[in-house]
This record gives sequence, C-alpha cells and structure tokens, in this order.
Amino acid sequence: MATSGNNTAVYGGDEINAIVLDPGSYYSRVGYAGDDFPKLVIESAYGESKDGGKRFYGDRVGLARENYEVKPIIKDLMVTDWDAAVEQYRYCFEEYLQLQYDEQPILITEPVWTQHRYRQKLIETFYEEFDFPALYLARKPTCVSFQQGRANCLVVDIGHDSVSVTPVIDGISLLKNSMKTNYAGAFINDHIEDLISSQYPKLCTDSYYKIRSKTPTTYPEPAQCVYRALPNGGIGVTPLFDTYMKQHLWHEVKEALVEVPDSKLHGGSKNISNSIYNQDQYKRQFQFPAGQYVTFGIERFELADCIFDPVSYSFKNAKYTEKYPPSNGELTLKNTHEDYKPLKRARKAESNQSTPPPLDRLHITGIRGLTELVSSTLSNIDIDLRALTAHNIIVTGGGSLIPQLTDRLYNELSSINPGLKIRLHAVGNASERTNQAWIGGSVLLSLGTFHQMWVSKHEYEEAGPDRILTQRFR
Amino acid sequence: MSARDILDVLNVQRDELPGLPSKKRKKLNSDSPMPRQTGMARELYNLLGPNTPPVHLGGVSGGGGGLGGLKDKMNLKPSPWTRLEFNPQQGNDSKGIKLYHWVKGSRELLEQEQATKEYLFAKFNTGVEIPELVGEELYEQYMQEFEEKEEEEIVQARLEAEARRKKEEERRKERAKNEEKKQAKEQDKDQSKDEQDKDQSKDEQSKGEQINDKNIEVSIDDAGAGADADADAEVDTDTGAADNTGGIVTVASTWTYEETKYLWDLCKAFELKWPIIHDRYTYDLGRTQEDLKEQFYRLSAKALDSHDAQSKALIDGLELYSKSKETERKQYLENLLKRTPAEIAEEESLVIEARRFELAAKKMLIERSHLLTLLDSPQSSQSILQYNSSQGLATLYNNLMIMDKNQKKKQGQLQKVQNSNFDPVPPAIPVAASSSFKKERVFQTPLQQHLAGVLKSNQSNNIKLETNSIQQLLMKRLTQKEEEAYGLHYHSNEKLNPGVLLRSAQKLPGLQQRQSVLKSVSTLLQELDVPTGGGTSWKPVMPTRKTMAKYDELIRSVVALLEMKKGKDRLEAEIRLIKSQKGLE
Amino acid sequence: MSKRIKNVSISVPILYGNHSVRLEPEERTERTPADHTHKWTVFFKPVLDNIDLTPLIKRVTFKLHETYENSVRLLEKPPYQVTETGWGEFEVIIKLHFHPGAELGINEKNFQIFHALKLHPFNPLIEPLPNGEVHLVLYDELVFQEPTEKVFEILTQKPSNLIPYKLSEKSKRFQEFTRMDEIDELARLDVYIAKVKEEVEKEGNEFQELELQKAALLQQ
Repeated sequence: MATSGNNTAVYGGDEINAIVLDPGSYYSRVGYAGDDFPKLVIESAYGESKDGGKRFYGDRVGLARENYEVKPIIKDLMVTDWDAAVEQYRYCFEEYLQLQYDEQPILITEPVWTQHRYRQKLIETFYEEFDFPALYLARKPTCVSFQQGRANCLVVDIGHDSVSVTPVIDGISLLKNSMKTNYAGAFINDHIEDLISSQYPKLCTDSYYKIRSKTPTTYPEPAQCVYRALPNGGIGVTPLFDTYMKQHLWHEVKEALVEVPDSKLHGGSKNISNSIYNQDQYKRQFQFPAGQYVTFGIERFELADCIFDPVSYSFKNAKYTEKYPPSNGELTLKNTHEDYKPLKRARKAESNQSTPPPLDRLHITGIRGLTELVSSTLSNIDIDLRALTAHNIIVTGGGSLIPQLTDRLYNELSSINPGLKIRLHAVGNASERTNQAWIGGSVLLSLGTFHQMWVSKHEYEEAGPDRILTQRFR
Repeated sequence: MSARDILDVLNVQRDELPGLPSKKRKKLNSDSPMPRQTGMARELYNLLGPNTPPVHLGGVSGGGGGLGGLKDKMNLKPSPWTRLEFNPQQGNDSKGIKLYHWVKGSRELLEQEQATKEYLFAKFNTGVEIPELVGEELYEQYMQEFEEKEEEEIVQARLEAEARRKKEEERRKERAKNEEKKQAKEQDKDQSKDEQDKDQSKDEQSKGEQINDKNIEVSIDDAGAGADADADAEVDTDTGAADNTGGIVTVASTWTYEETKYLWDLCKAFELKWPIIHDRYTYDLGRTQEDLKEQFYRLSAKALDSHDAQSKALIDGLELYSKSKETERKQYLENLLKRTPAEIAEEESLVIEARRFELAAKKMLIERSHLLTLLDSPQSSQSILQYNSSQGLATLYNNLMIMDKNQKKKQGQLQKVQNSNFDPVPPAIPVAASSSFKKERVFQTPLQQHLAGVLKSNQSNNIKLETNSIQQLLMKRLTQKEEEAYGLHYHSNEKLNPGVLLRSAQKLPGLQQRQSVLKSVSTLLQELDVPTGGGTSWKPVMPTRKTMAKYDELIRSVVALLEMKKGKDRLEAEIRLIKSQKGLE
Repeated sequence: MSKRIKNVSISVPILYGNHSVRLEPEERTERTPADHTHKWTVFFKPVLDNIDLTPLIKRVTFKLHETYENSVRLLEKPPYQVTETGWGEFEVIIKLHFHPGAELGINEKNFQIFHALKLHPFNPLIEPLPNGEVHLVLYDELVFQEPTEKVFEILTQKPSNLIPYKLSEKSKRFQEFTRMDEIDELARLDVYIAKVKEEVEKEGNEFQELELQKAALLQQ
C-alpha cells in the first residue's frame, strides 16, 4: 500500500494532517501536524468588555476599548477559565484554520504536573465540545524530545509561568522525578516592574497605546510626549487592561536588555559593587514608550541572575513576595490516579517522592534556582540512566533565549557535577526554541507508528474518561 | 536564421554553386543525429539556425513529439491520488477510528487492496512478551515460599546477632565485675571502719551482679523468645518490629495479589522498562525500583519453572537477581559520582603510584633473574639422572679425576714441542656434567669465546652430543700462544671467504693501488732492500700471518710516503711558479 | 653436515720446493737421457712431519715439463714428491686436490703452486757444495678460512703451527724454516717500517714548511 511518497521509506511517516494544540502560559500554538511551524501562535488571553459582551482573541485583544478587560486563560500551563478556553479554541479551529473537525484527530500537549481531575476535565471538554474523531494527550517534554530526536534526555523548559525540568526516558516523561518552580519569565517581568517602580520613580511607564508621539529624552528628565486621544478621554480603559499592556512593556524590556552574568552576583565573597558588570561596556539603553531613555548597567544582569539565584533578590513590593512563595521545585504527586489509594499512607505520608531526598551540594534553602533545580533532578534520576541523561540536556522555552543563559547553566552544572559529562542542547533558531513542544507534537503525529495510539471518540464513549486516562494516557 | 531563409525572405536569388550547398546539406544531414522534426520542433530549430544546440531539446522519451514527450504526457491523465480512509487499529473493529491520508492510486484499486492488506505500520505494534501472572492460589503459595526463605534468613541473622550480643554482654559483665572489684578494693582501703558495711555492700553488689547477670540472661532469653514469637507472627504483618531486633535482612511490606496484578499490568504496558514502570507506579509510593524488579523476577522465575524448564538459563538469570545487591551497587555508583574533584585527583595519583610500584617490582624481578642466571650454576644440558645413583656419582668422580690428570699431562706435554705425540684429549665426560670445569667458564681468548659460542649454538641444535672437536679444543683451555700453535686465528671483524688459499697468495689490502703507484713502491722497496719476491709477488720471505700483516703495514707506509712526496713536489712547483711570477713583477 | 665456523681461520705451514743434486753416473739408468745432468726432487710437505694432510688432500699432482713422460705425476699419499732427472729448470705446477664433499666444504679446484725448479746454485758467494746440492725450499701456509667442523677437527688433532725454533742441523739451512726466521723477518720489517715512517714524518715537516712559504709568498 503506497503511502505518501518518500516519507514512508525514509522517515516512517504517514501524514494524516492531524491538529496539534500546544497551550502555553503566554502563547498557545495551533497548527497542522507535518508542518514545521504552527499556523497560529495566539496569546493565552482574551479580551472582554466588563459587562460581558463580545470576546476578542488573538490580535484583536490588544486594542484599547472602552470598559474592556483582558483576562488570562491559562495559568501554570493549565487552563483556568474553561469557557474562555473553549471559545478561544473554537475561534482558532473554525474561524482561523477553518477546519472540518471530523477529518483529523487532535493532539493536546500537557505539562507533567497535571492531576487526574484536570486531565479528566480536559478530555471531557474536548470530546464533548468539539467533534474530533480522536484525541491524544502528550506530555510536553516528550514532544520536545521527539523534536530533538533524542529518546533519553532531560528537558529544561524555561517558559513564562514556570521553569520545569523533566527527565525523558525512552520517550516517556518521568513524572516523579520532575521539578518545577515559578522563577521564570513572569518572575523576571515582575522584578522589572519592581525595579522600575522603586528605583526609577521619575520614569513614565505609560504604554504605547496611550502615546501618540514622543521626543526622546534622557532619564531622569521628564518625558516629553503627546498623548493619544483615547475614547472617552481614556477613562474607560480598565486598570486590568492597563496592567496587561504594561506586562507587554516589561516583556519588551526583558527581551531587549536582560543578560545572564557569568556567575552569581551575590553571595560569598562577591560584592555587587566589585562586579565587572559595573563597567560601561555592559550598559545598555532602553527607550520607554514615552520617549525616555534609561541606561541600565548591572541591573540587567541582576534581573537575569534572579532565576539562578532567587534567594538573593527580594521584592520591594510585598505583593510580589506573596505571589512567589519560596519553592523548592518539588512536585506533589498525590492524586494522580484516584483509584489506587496508597496503603501505607500512614508510614510514608511525609515524603511524596519514593526516591531518596535529593542530594544537593549547595546549601538547601527552601528555594532552588535554575541550576539547583536541574542538578537536583539529575541527582534523583536512577544512577544507571544518569550519565545518559546528563549528556543529553535539552534547554527549551522562550526564557532560555536570554543571552549567556546556556553558558552559565553549563558551567554551573559542570562544576556541581564533576563526575558527569554534561552536554546542553539548545536549538539555535529563536522561534524554533519557543515552539519546540509544538514542533515535537507535529513530528510525533507524522509517524506512521503513532496512529495506533489514538483514542477515538467511540472508545471514550464506551469506557469513560476515567478509564481512558488510566489505561491509555498513563 | 539561416542564410537561405534570409535570402528567401528578401527574395534574392543567389547563384549557388550546386556542389557546395549540397555538400553542406549532406554534411548537415549526415551529422545531425536527430530525426526530422515535425511541426513545432521544426519551427523551433529553424529559429535557432543551422547550428544545433549542444543539448538535445527533444524529449527524452517520445523524442519525436513536439514538446519532447511532454505533450504526450500532458494528454495523459495524471496518476490519481485518493484521500483514503484507513483504520490503524485494524484488529479491533469496535475501536473503528477513521483517519485519512493521501495515497497514490485510484480509489477503487486501493479500496480493494485495503480489504486485503494490513496497515503498513501495524507491524510495529509490538510489545514485550512477559510470562503470565499465575493464578491467585499459586501466587499465595509462591509468596509463602518466599517468605519462608526470608524468615529463615532473618532467623539466622538474628541468631548471629544474638550470639554477638551475648559475647558483648559477657565481656561487659566481666569488665563490670573487674571494675566493681577494683572499686570494692578501693573502698576497703579507704574506709576500714565500714568493712562490715562494705562486705555487706560487696555482697549486695555481687548479688546485684548476679541479679544483673540473671537479668541480662533473662533479657537475652526474652529477646530470643521474642524473636521467635515475632518470626512466627510475621507472616502477614508489618515488620517494623523485625527491624528493632536488629535483623540484617529487612523484609519490606509484603505484596498483595492485587498489587502484583497492578505491577504486571504496568510491566506489560511499559514493556518492562523499569524506570518508567517505577515512575508510574502509584499503588504504593514506598516501593523502590529494586522492589518492583525483585517481585517481578522471582515470580516470573517460579512461573517459568513450573511451566516447563525450557529456558533454564533465563530462569537462572532471573533467580540471580538480588535486591540488596542491586541497591548496594547503585549506592556505590552514587558515591562514585559524588566524589569531589579532589578525591578524583587523589585516586588518579594513587593509581599512577600503584602502576609505578608494579613496574618497579617487575624490574626488580627481571634484574634478580639476571643475577641468578649469572651467579647460578649453569643449566645442565644433559640429564644428570645418570649421576643420581651412587654408581653414577662414582663414575662422575672418576671422570673428573681423569680430566684433571689429563689437564696436567697436557700442560707438561706442551713443554716438549717437537717430538711429542699429541694425543687428542678425549673428554671422558661430556662438558656439561663436569662441574669442576664449570667454574672457569671464562675463556681466555676471544677465539675460545667465539668457539664456545659456536658450540653452544650447535648444541642447541644437536640433541645428542658428539665428542666435538671444538669441545676438545675448548677442553684444553689453550692460551693465546697455544692457539697459535694450532694455527688458529680468530678474525673478529674480517669477512672471510670460505675456502683454502695459500698464504703467499693472499692479496694484501695494502696492495690495492694503481700500477704507477705500485711501480714506485717497488722501486722504493728495492732501494730499501726489502725482499719483494721478484716484482709481482709481494711477499716476505717467510709468509706467515704475522709477517704478511707486517708486510702489509710496510707497504702502506711506503704508499703514504710516496703520496707525501708527491704533495711536497707539487707544493714546490707551486712555490716556484709563484716566485717566478712574483719575481717578474 | 658440518657447519662452517665463522670468523675462524686455521693455517698449516707447508714447505715446497725442490732439492737437486748433480747426477752421478752411477745413478744413471738406461733410460736416463744423456743430457740429464741433475737429479732433482720436487716436493710438497707440511713443515712438521707428524702432520697428516691425507684426510684433506686427495692427491697432489706435479705437472712437469711436457717433455717428460707422464708429465703429470699423481701422488695419492705422502710423501708428495717427485724425483726425476733432467737438465733444465722449468716450472713445476704443484696442484692440490682436496677431497670433495660437503663435509670438508673445500671446493677449491685449482689450487696451484708454481715452483721454478732450481738446479744451479744462485749465490755466487757461497761455495757450492761438492755434490752440487741445491735446495730451493719455500715456506708457505695453507690457510683454511671458515673451516667446517670436520676440517677443524682434522686440523686440531695436532698443533700444526708449531714449527721448530731451531734447525735440526746446521747444514739444513736452506732446507728448513724456523720460527726464528719469522721473528727475524718481523724484526727486519719493523726496521723498514720505522725507516719509512721516519721519512714520512720528514716529508711531512717539509711539506708544512713549504705551505708556510707559499702562504707567505701569496700574501706579499
């Protein structure tokens, strides 16, 4: 039976053009399997007028409207607002992609820390709300490993809401050994806001949508700009919308300025004032929307350093400290399967991980930075697999694009683990790196051997979501 | 555009030499391999002119068609592709999932095919074969067996622990007794008044000791009894207590049938990939990977065993699995990994040192063996068995005496040079067995050494030793002079041509000169009154080795002299020349 | 199969030559031509009488002048000599035929010694002896280079190089060679060598002087 051309012979491929949906905390990606890029990269947020009117998705979100709020759909890679999510996806499928549901099945990626109940809700929603003939759930690290072509690896995903480290063995993500913290992109954004509000009081942080024209000035001179005439004189713009737009601003600052220093800036004998990063060559300027040019020196490095060393950087603003409780990265895995209750709960109630506690070389505070996270995950992996995994560490996610991040990570990992041969792999192409999980899903679905795995709607109707999850999506 | 066409267009007639164009035409015709083009092609080529392009623009197939076959292809229907529905899980019709992909071929044909053929990738739907889980009753039986084994081990371990403890207790007791005695003595010395009391106290103490002893014994017994009781009661309960009694083997919580079924399920689903199985194992989070492996392997071994002993090797392999060893091994590996760079460096330096020591030891051994061979008595090349008996020893002694006498005789004989009868000295015993001679292994002359070497090499080849003439010669232990008496000479570095020659006929190396030189030499020699033997034969009066050598030397020096003279004469001539030149100036 | 002993040579001193006496009338036979004036014996023998070369030498041939009947005289065993009468001095070719074979390893086919027969005394100063005795005896040595073991064995039975130090009789001066002769010769040669070397040195000095002269001249 001849299948599509050369693919069978060379790659074992069998294209059925299924849909790949990769929800993310910042962006979600939708597209056809077999493509090397998602057709649609859409923000995981929606706009809605305060009194519950029409909803806007995608590019239309960012326009200032009266009484208009922008709310997130996904938090921590899990859907928080199911209605909005369904609507957004419907928008993607029907309006944007204009696909026929029953012609292809859909793959949805999920993080490793999803619980049973969430997954149940997920597949229920998809089977019932949409008419896809079949569905599959894939863990994000598995997809990344497929994209990279490495069956045994350690996936370090530095995203917007979360940084996760997951070992993948034989293409299957190990859940118990995974770790995740919240010291990721959003964390840096918040630090930026904290920094600006505390140390640059004269900085005008009005976002682009407010500004009509500007003349450049140098901070701390006041901004010289002409404001745009907003509907209703700007009264109708909700603070939520404003916050949302400001987030974009911090995001821009982050992408433009932040750079990882070679080593920790704080701690030990290092004094921040002695650091070489105080020198002029490391200073960069950024022009804010209102026209003010601000020079940042060592702050750039401090901002990046905070994901490696969250302990040393505390927020001035208390609301952030609340937002980020100290996290040591350990995931609790209770209730992944509700059917089987652990018998010896009394005895082993304390430890959620059956492997011995991680042996960090560094001082164990309650907080793990990026390196410590990776290192402790490595230490938890079965010793037989450790060398193999350490040699195949994949760094992915938008946050990993910060300059010098991979170098710093590599150096620190190598010094902590002198016995292991550490090797980091990071895709060079920036857009590939942010969409790596989606691309992996696309690869996965193009394989002829994958098609036996689909869970059809028929099956779902017969067996029910619970059984499906426990039997098929283990 | 060809010339003809232009002329044609311009309606100009040209008188052409009939021969030429026809020739040209002929050439063209014969040259061009292309068949006549029709229609479009003709026009095309006419456009291009008489020079055909290097690339044949006609179609590869077809050839005659205008677009080179494309036209034909255009008329053909394209091969059809169908968006075909298929079911990758063809086994289960109930799970009918409909997927679509594009397949080359017409719909009808393909649908027919599909009815018969399997999905291309279905063959990759493999799994791992694992032995089936036994039924519940058998399971219980096996688990019982396992537990009994473990019990035994525990009991044994406990007994050992007890024995150890007893010994410790006794030691402690003794120590305690001694100390108390000491104390008692001290008390005696210190307080003489309260002796009675002390006695009393001593008694009490001793009593107390006894009581203590009893208590200790009782406690040991209790422990023992307790242990036994525990062992009995241990079938299905938790072994937290077992740990307390200090058993070496800790039995983990026991497996229920349900849990084992769950494990089997996971094993099948994840194809016996243990890291993944362990990761997804949520029945009891306390299980380590080794736990799971152990349970699976031992039950499989039992199952296979009972079925048929076909794969004995496999069963043995399964039974070999030892959980404790695996855990230990992994611990070792971890420790290995966690070594600091300092430790790693230390280890490397130790390894290097160890290697150095080894080398030194080897060298020492080699040197020692060298020394031994030097100092040691030489090997016997012949078996000395014949000399092991008393008779043998006697013969050996006699032979040695004979040798000795012969030696002396020979020395005496050498005085009488002329008329002595040199009887060859036959060696009575082979060289190897003569221990007295072994002492003076060193031969006096290089010749002898050489001959000894020759002898040895010969000996190595010959198994049976003949009374070799060389041996005989060596036996005599000649001095240099004596060697000469035999006319023997050892040429250390000369290349000798084998054969016979007359001494006088030997070509002297010094005589390798040109004729002119030789003439002058001869004149000189005549002047000096050196016997030249009449011109051509240059030899001393009595050509012996020595004289020939001397002669040679003489001739060489004469040659040197002549050369010197020549040089001098040349110089003189030059000087005269210069003088004359200078003089003229 | 005997192996060759490398780097070793063994030599046997030999004497060859001829004695000659005037032919006395008594000794003439009918066959003796009238013009024969002398009786001579040409011989070949090792210096020491007790050395037996038969194991090595198959035969010795003396090739006489063609005019002699059976001009090639073969001798299979010692003493290797030919006694004849004659009148003229000619060259006798003494040829040694060695036993062939691998054992001895001697492959010489043409071992010849040329000897000029001497009948008349050559030294005018010395009184010729009454019987016209003339001896021309020459010393030589058979040198076996890289002898095979067999040859070695044969030749080391007795020390063959022990030529005597003194003449057995004074009269045999011309018939015998002694060790002393060798020593004398060596001494003489030494003298010559010394002389020549002296000359060489002299010349050398002169040479150097001339060189200086020349250099001086050139500089001028």
